[in-house]
Amino acid sequence: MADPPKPQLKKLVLDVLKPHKPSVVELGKALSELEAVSSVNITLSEVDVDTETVRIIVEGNGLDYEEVKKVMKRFGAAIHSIDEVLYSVP
Amino acid sequence: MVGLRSLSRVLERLRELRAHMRAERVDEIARRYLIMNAFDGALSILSVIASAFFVGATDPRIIVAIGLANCLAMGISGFTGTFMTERAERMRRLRELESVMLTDLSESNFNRVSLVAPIYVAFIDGMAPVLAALISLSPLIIAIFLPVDVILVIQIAIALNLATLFALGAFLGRVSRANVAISGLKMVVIGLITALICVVFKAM
Repeated sequence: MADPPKPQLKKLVLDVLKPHKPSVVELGKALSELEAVSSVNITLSEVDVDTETVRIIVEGNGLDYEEVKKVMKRFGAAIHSIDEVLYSVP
Repeated sequence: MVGLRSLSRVLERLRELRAHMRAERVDEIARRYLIMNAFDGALSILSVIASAFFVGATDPRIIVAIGLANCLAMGISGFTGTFMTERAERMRRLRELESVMLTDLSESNFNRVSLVAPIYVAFIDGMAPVLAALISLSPLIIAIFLPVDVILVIQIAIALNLATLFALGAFLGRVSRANVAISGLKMVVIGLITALICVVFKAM
């Protein structure tokens, strides 16, 4: 009998601090180009002199959190907290 | 298939780096250096050609040798000076951002840009005077190898130099969305004043 399918990472909600530039458009584009990502939603929640706090929702089927983290690093963004994670069977 | 995927990943990273450089206004800085140093190169070559002509040194080899040495020195000084200045500014900006973000940005594109941008800008800065000077010196370089009238060649070189100055001014006019012709002519006038000063020195 085949093993039941394993739940996969489907949704990530992150609270992120990033420099103003590159913009959220560039960051969103880079995240959307990751494998298994089907949607990226970035909402600006706070603006400071040099930085901004954004809420990023990444959705897909079988997301790789490490890859998401790498993109954040490249963009000089710091993940402050992981606010929501959703694992479910495909 | 794997090769194609890694190539597309490399291209993606380059595109990302380019976006970071745009965000850091690197093109704008490079453009500024390009005009500034090309103008320097064109004017100093104009003074070399005009001075040589007015003191009666009409051997094209002497003018080309002095001119090339001059623009090469300007190129080297432009490259090294700009690289060190830009690198220092970028590193300062990186440290400031790190302290604001309370995070290490050594693996970020900001760190890569702080190295790539100074090299790119320094290259533009170093090449600008060399190219501007070579345009003016090209008729004289030809005159070394071909039996042509040197006086005519010097006149062509000065005309080419003024045309280079006009092009630089016109480019500035386009950047500032001002009148291209007037902006170009302003540069030509500065060139003529430089030539005039050389004539005055010769008369003294």
